[in-house]
Amino acid sequence: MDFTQLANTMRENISKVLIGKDDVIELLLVALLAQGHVLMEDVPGIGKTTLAKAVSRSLDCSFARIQFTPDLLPSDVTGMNVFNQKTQEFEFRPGPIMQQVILADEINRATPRTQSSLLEAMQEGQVTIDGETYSLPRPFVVIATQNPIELEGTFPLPEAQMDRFLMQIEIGYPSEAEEEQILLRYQHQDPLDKLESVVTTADIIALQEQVKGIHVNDDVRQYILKVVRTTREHPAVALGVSPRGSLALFKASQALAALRGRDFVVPSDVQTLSPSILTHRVHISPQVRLRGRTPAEVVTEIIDSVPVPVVE
Amino acid sequence: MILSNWRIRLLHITLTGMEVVWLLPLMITGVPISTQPVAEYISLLVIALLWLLIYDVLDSVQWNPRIRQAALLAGYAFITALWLWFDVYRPTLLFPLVWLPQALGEIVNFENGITPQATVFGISTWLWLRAAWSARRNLTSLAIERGLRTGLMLLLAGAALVQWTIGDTLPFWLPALYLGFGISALSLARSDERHALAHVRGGAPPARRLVQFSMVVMCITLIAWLAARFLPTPLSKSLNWLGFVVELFIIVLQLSFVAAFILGAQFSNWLRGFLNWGTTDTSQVPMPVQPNVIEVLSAQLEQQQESDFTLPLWALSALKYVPIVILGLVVILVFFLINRAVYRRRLRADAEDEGEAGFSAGDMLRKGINQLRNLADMSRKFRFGEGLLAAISVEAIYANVCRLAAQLDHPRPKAMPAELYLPVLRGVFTDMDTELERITHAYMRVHYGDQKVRTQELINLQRDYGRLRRAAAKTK
Repeated sequence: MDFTQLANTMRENISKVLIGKDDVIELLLVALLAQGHVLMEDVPGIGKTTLAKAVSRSLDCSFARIQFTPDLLPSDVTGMNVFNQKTQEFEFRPGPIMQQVILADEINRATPRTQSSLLEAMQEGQVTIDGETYSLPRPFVVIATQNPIELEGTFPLPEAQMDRFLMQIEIGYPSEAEEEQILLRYQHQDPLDKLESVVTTADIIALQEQVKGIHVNDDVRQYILKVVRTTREHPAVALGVSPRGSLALFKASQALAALRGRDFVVPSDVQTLSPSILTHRVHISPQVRLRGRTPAEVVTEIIDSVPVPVVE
Repeated sequence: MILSNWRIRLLHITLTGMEVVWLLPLMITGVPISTQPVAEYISLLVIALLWLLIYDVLDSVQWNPRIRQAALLAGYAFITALWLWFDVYRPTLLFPLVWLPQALGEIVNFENGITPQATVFGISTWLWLRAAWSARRNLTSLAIERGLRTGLMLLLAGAALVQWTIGDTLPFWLPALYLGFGISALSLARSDERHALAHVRGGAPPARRLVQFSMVVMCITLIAWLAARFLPTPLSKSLNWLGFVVELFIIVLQLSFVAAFILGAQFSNWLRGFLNWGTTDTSQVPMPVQPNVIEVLSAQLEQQQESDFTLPLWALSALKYVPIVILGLVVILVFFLINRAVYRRRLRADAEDEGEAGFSAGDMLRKGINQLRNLADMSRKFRFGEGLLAAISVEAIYANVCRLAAQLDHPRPKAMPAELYLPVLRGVFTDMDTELERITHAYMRVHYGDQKVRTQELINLQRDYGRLRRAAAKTK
């Protein structure tokens, strides 16, 4: 299977469940191919869980949903050793993190200690419990969600942890026509129940390796660096994008170029992905925030100001 | 500017202190009846800082742009008039402004050289414009360093002017003051840059750093003053080599002023005749007046009184001010239009992307170096041969397509990639979608994909470009 086939097949399959969000599906595929994780911050009832389930079913991957609550313990996420009285030995009971597609619902409701257990696993690709290390399966993608409207009693993710997510996506409300389609489609049954897998795990792993070979020439590489470095020098920005962010943009651009049927990255790939990849990594100064500007506006301003490498 | 964080505030103050030093020689030569140089310097500094403060206040109150412009013009007229009175007409009473018409006339009177009124008017205008440009000014350490070097040349020119016109030398404390303020401004700019890089901007510095900074500035100023005070002879000898530079400046100044006087005298003769009709009795003003003006006015008044129909005297007096008022309004309108044109041009320049830096020698050299670098990169990717030539041709074709679109008022914004510029090109070159797509995609493959182009494809692209060029020629 090639990238274009993957993109079309996945888009078609997921669209049976999530209507009219081709751009969101494309971003998710980019995250999957770039071996990154996704943070979705959106209002309730928009289809975040449905999207995560649809992705996992389309990929024939194991799926687990972790509902983060303030009383959730790290061991509830990673698993623990439990003493078996029959065998008189400790048995490892894996936690939900041992699945391939994880939906970490309302991650900001858990304590920082529990958040760290998930984020550490995301970074390392393994968990260590009682001195023993367990590798996480491949492909491994975490789709974390946050609710932007109910912030009382939550533990917002610190900047260092936000940086571990490849991209932040907003699904957004459907249009009127799309919402009507949802009502029609969900009238008699849930389309998610009938969703079948269209891509195997082996295909995904192979494509993830192929993405690394997508060509990024010097000009595009310099352009990525210029965009990221401009975020550090912008007067409205208190903390710009880290080198992890520039690497994320680099890898994601390769994935997007592959999905669009090219074997090389172009600056428009970088521009398309910059809002999703850079916005949650850019922290604007409090004075600027008080004046009503948002990180998204600042990132858009930066993208519109950095010259693209085109021959003159 | 002034109403900003301490570093920026201090930077503007020291920069102002440095830059008004250049104006003092002009004041000394242009306004001979002015007060001591120290007082003149202080008045220059105060007015310059006042203008910065006015702009800061206007920026913070967010008035309607027209009201703001009107307030600025009124402020400019008020400050200039007040300064004129203070420096030139102080023996006269400020009100009822009988000195004003003559002052306005003397501004354009080039027969007696540059008048004190013209000097004050010119410097007031410069201080106003300086404040207007300060908000958009580049305050990097490099820019200030450049200004410091330029200022030294201007100081030499000022010394030449003073020596030529009144046969005197500049006060010794002037260069010391200039260097003191200049080095302070440079240090502050550098400190600001370092703090910006460390993401710490606007915060108060530690007391130790303030003390260090103050000590450095005081030491430099003290050394300069001590050298001038106790070592004038060795100092003069070591500075003698500058003597020929001063002489050269004097020659250049003489030639420039002669040319300006010849041109200005012709204009002022006409304008003086026009303004003389409007001048009132200037016998109370301690400046020479034209006696025939009073006689003419008296004769006219007598004539009026004898005629059957007479205008009231107050109306006649008021009529005399009309041409002066009209002339004043025309001058203000011209300044306003120039200011607006400069501001719009600057806005347009800001909206344009970087890279169009102009056609100076430095820019041409930079462009040439970039092109050579590109050529070296392409040689490395495509190796010398047909592949390289084809790649260069494809890039040239795309560049020419962009140039054609720019000529048809659709230039590519610098931040717009080729893929997103394609719809714009489709709108410019109608019914050329296929050609434009082929050229754009080929360019993207060559430039970003480092992929070679086959000979047949290159021939097709050249044909496509030919069609586009013909279509563009028809459209123009």
